[in-house]
Amino acid sequence: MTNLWKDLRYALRRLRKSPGFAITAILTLALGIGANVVVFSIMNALLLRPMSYPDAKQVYTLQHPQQDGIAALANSYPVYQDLRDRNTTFSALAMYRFAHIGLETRNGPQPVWGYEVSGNYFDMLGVQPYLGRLIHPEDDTAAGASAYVVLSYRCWRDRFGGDKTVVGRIIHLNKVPYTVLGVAPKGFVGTERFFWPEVFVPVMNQAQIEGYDWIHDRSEQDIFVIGRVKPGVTAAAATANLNAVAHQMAKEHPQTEDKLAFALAQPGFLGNVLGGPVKAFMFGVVLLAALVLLAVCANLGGLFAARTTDRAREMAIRIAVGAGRPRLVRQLLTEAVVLSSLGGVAGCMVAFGLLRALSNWQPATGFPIQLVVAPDKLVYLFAFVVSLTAGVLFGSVPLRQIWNTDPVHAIKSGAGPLTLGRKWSLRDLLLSFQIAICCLLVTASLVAVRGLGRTLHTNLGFDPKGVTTGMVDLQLANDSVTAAEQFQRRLAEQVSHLPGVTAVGYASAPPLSLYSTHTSVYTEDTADFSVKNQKFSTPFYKVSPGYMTAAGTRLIAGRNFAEQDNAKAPKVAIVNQTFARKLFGTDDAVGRYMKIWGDKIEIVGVVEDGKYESVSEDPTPALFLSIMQFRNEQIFLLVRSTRNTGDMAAAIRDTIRRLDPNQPISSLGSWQDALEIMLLPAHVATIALGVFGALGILLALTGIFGLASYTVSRRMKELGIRVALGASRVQVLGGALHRPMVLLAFGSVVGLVLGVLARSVLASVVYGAKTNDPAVLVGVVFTMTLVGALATWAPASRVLHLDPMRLLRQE
Amino acid sequence: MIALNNVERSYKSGAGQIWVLRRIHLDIQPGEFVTIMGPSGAGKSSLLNILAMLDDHWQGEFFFQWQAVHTLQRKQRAELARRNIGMVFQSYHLLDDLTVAENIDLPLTYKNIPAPERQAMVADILDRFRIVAKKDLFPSQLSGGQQQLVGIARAVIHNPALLLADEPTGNLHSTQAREIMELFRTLNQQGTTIVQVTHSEANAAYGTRIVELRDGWMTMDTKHPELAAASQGGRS
Ligand SMILES: Nc1ncnc2c1ncn2[C@@H]1O[C@H](COP(=O)(O)OP(=O)(O)O)[C@@H](O)[C@H]1O
Ligand SMILES: [Mg+2]
Repeated sequence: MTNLWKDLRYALRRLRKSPGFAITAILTLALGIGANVVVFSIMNALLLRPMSYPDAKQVYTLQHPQQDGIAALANSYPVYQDLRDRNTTFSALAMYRFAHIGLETRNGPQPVWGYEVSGNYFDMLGVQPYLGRLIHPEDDTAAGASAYVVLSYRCWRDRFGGDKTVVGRIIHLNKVPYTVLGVAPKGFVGTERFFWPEVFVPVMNQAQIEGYDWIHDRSEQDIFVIGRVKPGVTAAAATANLNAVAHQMAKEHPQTEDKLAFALAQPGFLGNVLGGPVKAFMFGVVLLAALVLLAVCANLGGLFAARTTDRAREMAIRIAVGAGRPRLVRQLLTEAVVLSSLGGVAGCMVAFGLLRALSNWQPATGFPIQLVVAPDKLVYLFAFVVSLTAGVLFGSVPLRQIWNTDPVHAIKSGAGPLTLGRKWSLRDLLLSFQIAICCLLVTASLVAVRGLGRTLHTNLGFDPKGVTTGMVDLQLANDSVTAAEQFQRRLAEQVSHLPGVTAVGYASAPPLSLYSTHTSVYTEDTADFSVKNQKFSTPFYKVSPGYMTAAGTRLIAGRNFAEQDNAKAPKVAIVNQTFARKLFGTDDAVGRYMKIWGDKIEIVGVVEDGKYESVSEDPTPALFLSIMQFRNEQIFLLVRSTRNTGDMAAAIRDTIRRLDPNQPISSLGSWQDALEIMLLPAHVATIALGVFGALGILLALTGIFGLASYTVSRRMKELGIRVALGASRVQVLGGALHRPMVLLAFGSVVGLVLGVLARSVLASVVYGAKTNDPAVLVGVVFTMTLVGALATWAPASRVLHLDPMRLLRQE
Repeated sequence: MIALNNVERSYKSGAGQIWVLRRIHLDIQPGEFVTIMGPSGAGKSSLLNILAMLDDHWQGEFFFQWQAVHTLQRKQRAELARRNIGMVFQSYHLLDDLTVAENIDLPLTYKNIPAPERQAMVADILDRFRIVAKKDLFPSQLSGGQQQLVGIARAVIHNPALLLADEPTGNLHSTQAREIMELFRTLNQQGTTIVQVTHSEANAAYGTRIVELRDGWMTMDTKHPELAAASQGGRS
């Protein structure tokens, strides 16, 4: 204990003696540890931390089993009622639904997101109010019966100034007076990790809130069911129970609930619909953060080794007078751990500041996407462990040096200041390793920035502005195929007569949606349709004659689909330019033929290229088929109009309802909003990788600066001698900076190669990441050169201005 | 060969200017072996640095082989020094990581001399100084006297007209010092002009002329006996 204390005091004294070294080391560590704490906190908030209500493990979201890799979540309210009343395994089953609400605040009406919840929502979760009371079942008995609203803590604090007298006050939601019942507790942010509601209203008021009554409609599938399993009941038992109920319901309502089935998922990511991509993203980011820390450790390990070399004589003397090597090692490790602890504290301060900013940040997607990342015990523990590990890691670098200290030799030669270090040392290895990592980080961030650039300036091949979309799935309504086709045509026809509508079309799926499908393309003369004969695989879309106009996709040659392209007519297709070039080697494809699914199809039109599966993809072929020849029960309606989305959506709903009151429609809303969600990951990835790139640059700078100034300061006297012997300053400069430059070049090349190889990891963060993009390569080389120039600037000018006379003065 | 007229040198310090050389007038003819003496801090090294053209911050006139050094750019001075001057230091200033041969070779590498020629020159000087057997050793493996021998070999490898030595035997035993002085005498007899700084009367005896500095003033010059009297008079 006393020894430890002594070591500690000695370490602090040594650090105080070289404040420059201590400060650089602490700052570098703060960056590395800070980055990891931020990333870990986000992961903790997203994946590790339980949801913000008691006994969260017992609460499950009900989702439908995966189909085609896509899990669905939504149910109709009557289905919820049946499940609630008939199941025997849940102590309570509640529902919620996102709703866009005009909230009257001190600053006038503001559009906010809220949840419409069943009366038992809060009771089921076991949440206690911060102020007033929350919604209970008796507040949710009939439409308009209880015009009550519960505010989220954040809404209360930000929009009502934290005014405690707000309880009982009447405020207006969509111009209808509502009484404020209470305020939800501070940490409670609903039952989604991303979508944070500001207000909660009883779902019975849905018609008032949304201007449209859907609640008794079995075909309106837009609510999420969440429930608490009874104590002692396993998830499997609960699932079996739900499916038994579902089976019954399917018999009672074959039109809407045929094949109804349920699976349980942890709540948070729309069930686990978004869970997979979020986990892959986090994995990539955690990996990058770990690399940053590794680079930091390499950096400090190098500095430590250098300092140990400087102390060789002192060490030798200590060993000569009887100090054991283990004791010297402990001293060194103490120093390292003291540094890393200080760095950890500084890193945490930076990290927590950043996290606070992140918690307050709300991306402009039109969705209440938010993330609370306040540090908790786990984060502190993580920061502590990381700091300690880092300290031991870089503190161990010079161990071999100490072990190999030969007291006799070291004392005799005096470990003079004129050592050039001819051999490549461990330190050099560490620096090139560090530069390789930094270069990899720079590569990653440039890839992301390039990706975002492409995203922002790219031609989508359609124009989402002013278009309202919605999905109508006739399969769910159990129509026959012909009935479905007739319904689709009538729907398009009737919607086109709505006021303000300029174009209507529909398609099996729009581009850049989650519903993309592929098919193999063959040449006209193919007979054997095995995969090896396929020319390429292409995303395809079955579209109506009005689709191209409604989507705003430009026809370049040939003609659009028309009414006569029906089941009786010869099969026709429209392709994009890339498709035409890929299959025929020319844009001139009109009148030519190709084969899919064994059918010979004539190409009647060519449209402009666009983006189909990711905004950052390379030009991709795309194939459009006439939906009258290739039918599809599920369609996305595209309505281009001069009216706002809200009005248009209501009008479309009315139209569908008039055609068939049982027909479900989902995802009704503006096309742009839907695309923003597709773009959000790219934005987040760019920010994340941009930050890592900046860290990489910073670390490369400090690393090279550290080595260059260390080399120069150790060699000043030698350089002075060389000048005195007739060397020109430029010659001396070349000698002094040769090694840092070689290491920079070597590390950069390794980093670039790694970057190209790490493509798949980067791709989990940036969709469609391309590391072999020449612009990225040039950018990396340029950046690293700049880094080299900046980092060696000060040491170089020291060399250029060295004064041999002064250096050689004899003591 | 050398003519200093009214050369002065001062350092700025916190308190103001400190004069370390005052009104130095010094003529040195080719072939002379001059010894500069004086107490510590008198300005001997400062004077040597000016002669070596390592120092750029002095006032006055300095002619070297009829060239006006005071009018030259730093680069031109360096070039002049590189061709004509060799320097020997009290603490040798050998580079620890270079072998004896490489240390000696060092000045030549800065003069664009082809490698084979350089090798021949190094071999020749190793031979002359009788240290061929040591050529692959590192400085730390040599005694002080041997190290200084290498230092001198390095200083004269390019046959400089002027050899400057700042207390070359300061760190050596008297026997070792005598060897070095014998070597200097030989070099001087072969035509090299030598200016050395020393505290030792014995070393000074090897030279042909003694100059004394005190507090930056030249107080004595055996070639100009009248100086001592003048300076005595001038300063009292
Ligand atoms: N770089 C310097 N800055 C300030 N003063 C200096 C510097 N170099 C030498 N001096 C001062 O100049 C005076 C002469 O120094 P120096 O020429 O080394 O004397 P000597 O070699 O005769 O012992 C001393 O007082 C010394 O302190
Ligand atoms: Mg001196």
